[in-house]
Amino acid sequence: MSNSAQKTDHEHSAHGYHGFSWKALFWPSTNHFIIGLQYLFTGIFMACVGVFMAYVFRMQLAWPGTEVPLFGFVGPGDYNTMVTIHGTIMIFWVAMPVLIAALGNFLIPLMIGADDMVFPRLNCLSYWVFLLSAIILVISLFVPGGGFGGGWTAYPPLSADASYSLTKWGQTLWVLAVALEFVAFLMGGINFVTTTMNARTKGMKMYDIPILVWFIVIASILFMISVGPLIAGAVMLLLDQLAGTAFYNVAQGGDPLLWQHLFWFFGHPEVYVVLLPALGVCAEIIPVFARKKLFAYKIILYTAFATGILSFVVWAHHQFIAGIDPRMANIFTVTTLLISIPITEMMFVYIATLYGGAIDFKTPMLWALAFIAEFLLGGCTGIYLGCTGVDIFFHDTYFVVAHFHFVFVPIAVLAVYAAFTYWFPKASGKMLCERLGKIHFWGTIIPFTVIFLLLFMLGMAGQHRRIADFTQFPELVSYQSVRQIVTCCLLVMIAFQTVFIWNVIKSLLWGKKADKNPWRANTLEWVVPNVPPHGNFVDGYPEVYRGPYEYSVKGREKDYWPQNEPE
Amino acid sequence: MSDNHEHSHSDYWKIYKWLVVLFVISVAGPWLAPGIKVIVLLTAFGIALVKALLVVSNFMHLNVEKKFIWFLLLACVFILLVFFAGVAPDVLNKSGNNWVSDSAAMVTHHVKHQENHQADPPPVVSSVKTNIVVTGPSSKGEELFKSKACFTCHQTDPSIPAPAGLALKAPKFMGDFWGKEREVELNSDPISPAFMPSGKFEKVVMDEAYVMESIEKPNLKVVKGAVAAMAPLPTNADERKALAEYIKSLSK
Amino acid sequence: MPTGRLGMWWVVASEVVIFGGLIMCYLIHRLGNPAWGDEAAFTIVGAGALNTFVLLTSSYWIVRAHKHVNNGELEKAVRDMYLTIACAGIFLIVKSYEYSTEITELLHHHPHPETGHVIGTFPVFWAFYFAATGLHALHVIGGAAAIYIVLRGVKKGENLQRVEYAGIYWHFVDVVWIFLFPLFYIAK
Repeated sequence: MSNSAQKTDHEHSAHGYHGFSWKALFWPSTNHFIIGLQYLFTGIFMACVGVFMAYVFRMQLAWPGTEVPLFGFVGPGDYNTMVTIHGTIMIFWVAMPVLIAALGNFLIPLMIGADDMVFPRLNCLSYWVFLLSAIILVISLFVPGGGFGGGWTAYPPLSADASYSLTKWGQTLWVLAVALEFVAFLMGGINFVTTTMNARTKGMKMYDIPILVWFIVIASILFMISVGPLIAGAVMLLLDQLAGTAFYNVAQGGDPLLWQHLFWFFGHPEVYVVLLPALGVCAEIIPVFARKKLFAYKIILYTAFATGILSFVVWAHHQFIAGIDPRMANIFTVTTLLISIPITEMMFVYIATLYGGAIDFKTPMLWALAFIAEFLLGGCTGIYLGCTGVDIFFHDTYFVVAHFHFVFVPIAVLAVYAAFTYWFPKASGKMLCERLGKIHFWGTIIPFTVIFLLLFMLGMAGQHRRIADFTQFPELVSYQSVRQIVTCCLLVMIAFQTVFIWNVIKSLLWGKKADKNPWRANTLEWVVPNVPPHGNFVDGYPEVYRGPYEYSVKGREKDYWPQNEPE
Repeated sequence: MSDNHEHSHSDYWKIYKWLVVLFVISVAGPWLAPGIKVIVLLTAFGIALVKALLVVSNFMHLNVEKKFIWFLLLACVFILLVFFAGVAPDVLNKSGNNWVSDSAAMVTHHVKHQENHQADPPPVVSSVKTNIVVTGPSSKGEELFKSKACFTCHQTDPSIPAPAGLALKAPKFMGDFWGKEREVELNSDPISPAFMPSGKFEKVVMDEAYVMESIEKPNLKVVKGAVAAMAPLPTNADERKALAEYIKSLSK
Repeated sequence: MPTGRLGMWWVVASEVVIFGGLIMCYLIHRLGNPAWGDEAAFTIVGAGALNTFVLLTSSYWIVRAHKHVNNGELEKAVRDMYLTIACAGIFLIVKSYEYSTEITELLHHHPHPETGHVIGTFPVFWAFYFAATGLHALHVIGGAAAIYIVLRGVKKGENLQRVEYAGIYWHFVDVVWIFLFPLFYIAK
């Protein structure tokens, strides 16, 4: 069938996979495991850059005008650049590569019983284009003029005219980096979708596919369809920057509002592109650590489709006070409030899965539970922002910042740690230390919650975004101590990440050797040996007999029932 | 592999002939009847659609392909229409209930006169729908006054209030402003851009020096009774001088 | 469905939204600016028409190549693929001629008040014209390169199924032009 099609490509691959080695990470490889790790490590590196920028701008906010250790004085232009690149990096070079590319590449072939992706060379190319885009973005920080500082949303004319953005090279390299990243993910997305459609092992029907795989596929489709107009828009922005065209220049007949629409037409589905894999991770972890069947597989699946479709008609809620037609604003308020329904329903399904289960509070489960709690809080604040009247007050304040961090951090941090701690034994063959994991967990969750609850408060007080120094504003000066507390919490949160790094190093070097299936889970990735070898299923392709969530089935001795066990 | 394509193979030449015929019609139509816009549009786009469908179903084998590919492509087209529906009301319109896009009006005017290379008279521009009409060449100060949005707080026309300025009690620049003496409160911290009340008052003449200083550092000397809410404006000395001259002209 | 063809359809779908997005933006601007009719007065309809005919013919040849592959007539298939690439070449030559004349015309009609160059006063119609046709031309180049690579395989008798897949991509490029032609040349 299609499995044989993969083998031909594999034999011809010049960079055959001969088992994991650290050296292999630095060379082009067509093996999905290595490519997944390459995406992961690049994402981690970019996360460090993004966190450093957060550190710099938060230090400036807490103690304005003072020298920030490891950086220096932060001028207003520097501040804008830090904020812009922080946002850009976290979404495009951390959340997407880790959640979609790393998880997808590592897990999709394993979970559907395939030996690799169906287009291994395209997969390889997608990583190296992605790496190039990351390099270009980092270079953009060091060119004459410095990095682009117009916000990750890059509204023209600020982003189209170097006399406004003050960085001719920075603004162009920024657009190029983002455009290349889009191309890389278009290539990657084709792989995920086609592999899942065509390369499933014998017996795996549509409804036997693990939710994580489904969600990454739906996310890829969402991405592919929504990014088109923005790629067109990015071409137009590049031409405005370089060729003197006037797509977004009012004085010559263009319209900057067009960019806003193009950007957010993609920008909104994009948040679901990153949300769905995070939800998928929780869907995998919660049944395992509750020893209970996922509450409503088909409903979750259809809900995800519905969310995807709805996500295309909510975009202008980012533009309520940008001067759009107010009648449009009314329509978008309705659709925005509607889209909260399917997501909430998914949350309820997870909670229903927990109900009556035998919950085991291992570290991955803690992260997954925290995801649900924090994401629910963040999502509720989105309801406020979705109402035009309220948004007139809240737009561009820290309320928005707190809202999107309360949803994004669960997606890009909590779910990622959940996935990392859950699949670490499979990828490395070692178990992580539970105690250190729990310390890291609490040391991350508590500061995170404090930081952004305080920022909600500041937003309600009227503190605006993208401003380097609030002591200039008499009405906000009194909150300076709050800002300092927030920054201190951030420092604590960063400090606790060292616990995680130490945990990983310690476990890799001296950790307990892991069983093939330490969590006693059902899905197919636990069938292969740890540190998956070339071809994954070296003992023969598995055959699937049931769905992935058959836990605690009545009348059976074991409380789990792997998909590939015939009886 | 492609057994299901056998029956359509012999049709390729026929389809191609049709494509060429349609193509000729689509070019000939507008050429023969250029005036009748509806026919031009119908032939041009209608035929394009037919040609595209022919290529897509026959050459790309969608007529024998799995149906979901049709759904995928139609979904893409539908999404594009959603995009159009959401964006067109904003970008398409050059005026609305309470606004007119000056720049768009000027560009259209400019394009129309491009070929004639005349020195066109500046168009009559309506900035706010409350009938401020500015005709004739405007001074640099006046342009700056508009482009930096000073008019939102500082009233210049007796019939048009400055909405934000009413609440902030900003000094009105018309009539009885220039050259008069007024009481101002000094900033207790002359270096800070924010205003800290000092309780110390002074009498200052509203002249060029005061106006130019206030544009650069608005919270140094704040007119008594006004709310100190003006942010310093990025300007150079020439611009401040031009603005001061314009403000002076309002008081004559 | 064979994986290669499925993958190619996903590529086509994502390209539909890219070009579609650009075309939608153009339509929005065009419908709001009836005055553009004057500006567009000098797109060369004859050149556009010739290019349309060339691309239609190239589409026919690549699908005929697919038929030949199915019948096992590999030399005929290779010949047809060379013809397709030749059509791509003609298209690009005509396009270059168009671009050079149009850019000089623009320089003549809309010079920048200070530099005399057209950069800085690009009318929006022409901005869209160059963006859309330029992006399309890049896809023509890419498609021709892909067909050439597949051709090399066919000569050795390898990976014959790729002729169809490259054809699907090429037909897509043709369909985009089928819409760009009336948009920029006829319905001005």
